[in-house]
Amino acid sequence: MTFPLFLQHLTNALSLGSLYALIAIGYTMVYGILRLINFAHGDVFMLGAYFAFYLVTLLLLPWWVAFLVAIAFTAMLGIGLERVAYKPLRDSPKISIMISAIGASFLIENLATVVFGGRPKGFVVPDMFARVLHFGSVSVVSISVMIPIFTFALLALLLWIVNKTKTGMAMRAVSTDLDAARLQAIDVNRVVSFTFGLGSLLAAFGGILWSLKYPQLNPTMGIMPGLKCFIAAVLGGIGNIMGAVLGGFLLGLLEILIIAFLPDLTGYRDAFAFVALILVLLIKPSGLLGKNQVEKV
Amino acid sequence: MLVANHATMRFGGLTAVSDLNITVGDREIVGLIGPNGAGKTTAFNMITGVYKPTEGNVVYNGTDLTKLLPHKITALGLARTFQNIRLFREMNVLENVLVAGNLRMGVHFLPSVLHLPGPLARERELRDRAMHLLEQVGLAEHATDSAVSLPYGKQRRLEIVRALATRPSFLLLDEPAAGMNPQESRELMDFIMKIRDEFGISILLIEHHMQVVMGVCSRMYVLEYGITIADGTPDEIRKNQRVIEAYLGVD
Amino acid sequence: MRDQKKLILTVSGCVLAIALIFCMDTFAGNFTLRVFNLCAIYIVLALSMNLLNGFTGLFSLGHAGFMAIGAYVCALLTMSPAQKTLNFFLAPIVPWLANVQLPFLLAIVIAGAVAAIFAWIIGTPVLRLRDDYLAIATLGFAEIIRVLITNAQTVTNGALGLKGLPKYSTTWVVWSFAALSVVFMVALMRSAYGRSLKAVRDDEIAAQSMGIDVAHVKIVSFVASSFIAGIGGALLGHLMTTIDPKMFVFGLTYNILLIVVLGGNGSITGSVIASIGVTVLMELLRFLDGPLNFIAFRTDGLPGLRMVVFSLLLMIVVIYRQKGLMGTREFSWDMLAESGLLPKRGNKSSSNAAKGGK
Repeated sequence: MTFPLFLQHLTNALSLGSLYALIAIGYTMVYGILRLINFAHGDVFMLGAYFAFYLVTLLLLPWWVAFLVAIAFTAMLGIGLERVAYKPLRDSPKISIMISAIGASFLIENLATVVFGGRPKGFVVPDMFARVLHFGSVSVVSISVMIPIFTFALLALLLWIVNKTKTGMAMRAVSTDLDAARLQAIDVNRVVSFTFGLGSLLAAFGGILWSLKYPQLNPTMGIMPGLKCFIAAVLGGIGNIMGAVLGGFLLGLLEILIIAFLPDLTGYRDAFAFVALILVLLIKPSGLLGKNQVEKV
Repeated sequence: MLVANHATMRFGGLTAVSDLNITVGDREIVGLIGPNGAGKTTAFNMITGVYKPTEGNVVYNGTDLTKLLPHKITALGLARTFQNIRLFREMNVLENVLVAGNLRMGVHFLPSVLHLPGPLARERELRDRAMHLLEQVGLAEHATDSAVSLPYGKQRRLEIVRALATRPSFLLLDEPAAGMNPQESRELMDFIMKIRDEFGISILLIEHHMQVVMGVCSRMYVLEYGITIADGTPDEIRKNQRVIEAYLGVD
Repeated sequence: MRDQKKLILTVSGCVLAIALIFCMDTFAGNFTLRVFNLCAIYIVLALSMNLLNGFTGLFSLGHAGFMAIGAYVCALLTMSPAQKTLNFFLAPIVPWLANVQLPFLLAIVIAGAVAAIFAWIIGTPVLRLRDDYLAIATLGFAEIIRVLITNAQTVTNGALGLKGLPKYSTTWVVWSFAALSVVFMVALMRSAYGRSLKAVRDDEIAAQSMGIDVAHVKIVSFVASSFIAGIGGALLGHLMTTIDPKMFVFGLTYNILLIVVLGGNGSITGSVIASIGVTVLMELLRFLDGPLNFIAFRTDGLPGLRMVVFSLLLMIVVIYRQKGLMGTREFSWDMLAESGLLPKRGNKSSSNAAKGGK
């Protein structure tokens, strides 16, 4: 392995890691608040990409407008999803809400297949993202560099919201103890909606950035990334935003670097995340940055 | 005989129970009292294996309980009830008691599924014994009713009877009189003493109903914020200044 | 209702069922028969999931993985050496499998056993996890199994799959297995061990405190469920006569979950009814995926519409009627009598007297 090749792999790993981090944050925030694995999150990611695609190709909007509108629309969709599929089941046994989440996921995927068509579509990539940059003997696509930058910017914004604003504090309160938060006159419903909106926003961003780098869209494109990003969130410590970021990057790095150094294992690429998951759940279920929780008897 | 030695339970930075040293002898009824949040249920959980003490241990008739899983502790002869009633909600009254009887009956997968004559005969015995237990507490007529459809007081009785179905030699009761009126409390007191006499069981009792505690316990321990602040006979405790302060607060 | 009457009703019911199966087998067309037999296989699969999920309270999403193991083991053990050579054209099959050919019944039992062994290995560490983590972990294992199958070219023929499986899933075979599954489940749920399972479902901590070895019960349930799932997978394989890794995706587990939820998580009757209902409905609604003539409109096939309908159905049930069709209740002749569907002898007062007398 030559050094330039290694750097190329590293850039890819960082891009993939950033994308995984963006999506993983949504999972971890929702789980932190509702103790729910939002199975449909990966599909929200997919919808963000498709909306952007149609806004550009059908409505012929300039790409930056289309992207922003798509992201906003997807965020609202995420809020709607929560209202319809999860809110009615908030006091039900956990299994029911999980089944609803899985049902919602399949519903969205199949609805997307019906409406958008099952055949893959090519995403429209504006020139500035497709330019090949040269750093010495290393060549990278501009988007690969931009993804980590965008991700860190978004992350900084997110951390500011969570730590420095009232809503963010409310989020953290609900995440720690929903009933106690309710007693403190925190409007839990608004906080939950806000969380879903924020998570879906990040997922939509992720979907668009993903499609700029891997421009093939299909209705099931969110399944694998969705699963892997949930695993990333667990890896880092579910409920912990920094944990999700850490998990996302670790997983991205793991995936790309294993393929880079052991190309024979390419066929097993998707299994790495699952193996990592099993290992984490067995060795340290609370994840790298998580805390142990004890059940009250 | 049950002995807790310097048992301490810490959850992260919080010490729920600190240096617990209690003794319960054969056929004794001992009380564990204290204001809410004092760590009484935590103490129960340490004894029954739900929590593993951070420090210290609990020994029953020479066996160290802290090394055992809860079901093994029950097999040794310690049974319990719960502060928030934990009945099996999809089962009826009789089934709740029958389940607890599985332990002594010895239940294995294949023989059970195949309804072999051996298990079937033992099952019949178990049913008879279970119905008998239900009769003793006046729940026999509810045998096929859903367990959670019973009024609160009867649910508590059912929980006690379920624990008895495991044929224990030691019973831990967590607030058995909660939600009972004076009449029911008195019946419960009689029932507790009857169990002790008929089955030869030792009993450790958490309770807030002072009438019940003072009436049945020969000794009691008082906990506050996890620390044992007093122990002795009902009379001694009644007059203990520290205990009075703990319950009524200090000016 | 008197026991004697119940016995007569039960026997009559069985005779009717056997007659129905015979008629279908003799007179039904190929396609209809296939759907009919698919119902039986889904009964087996739904019951295996219900055992784990509805009766023991373990939310596992790994069913497709165990089905895959069962299907592949049975296929590899029953295909003739000639068929194997035909299939393994990309890379030859491993020598120790090349010449093995066993009778179907033996092969299917081994298939179930292999699935059960995998379940035992996976279950021992994984069953300690909390419900949502358990779901993801089992889902993860199912995916790992699928990836392994896709890559083990010389054992499973990889992504190409296996074609030409012998047609062992005949009407009588599958319905016998379905009947056996029902009998097994009823026997289990009425037994003392069944009580332990339900106790673990209702309240693990209380169960443990009543002396039940919860960890052991969970493993037994997981292994038993996977054994049956493996057999179900094998039956499915030999009905379809081709298997490949893409058959055993999460969507398959989802379909079974759908059936179990619709029928009632914890009801054997519910699983049976829902298996038949959903399988038939899935076939009937197949037209939704094809070209539609709707008054003035015409669409050229909307693949996925069928699953949209089912997903909606699942969500409506889980949100508005969580208990599904039967909840945790089971069918009984008494239930049927009380609803007035059975002819009654005499008048109300005499039947009340009979009730009071017993």
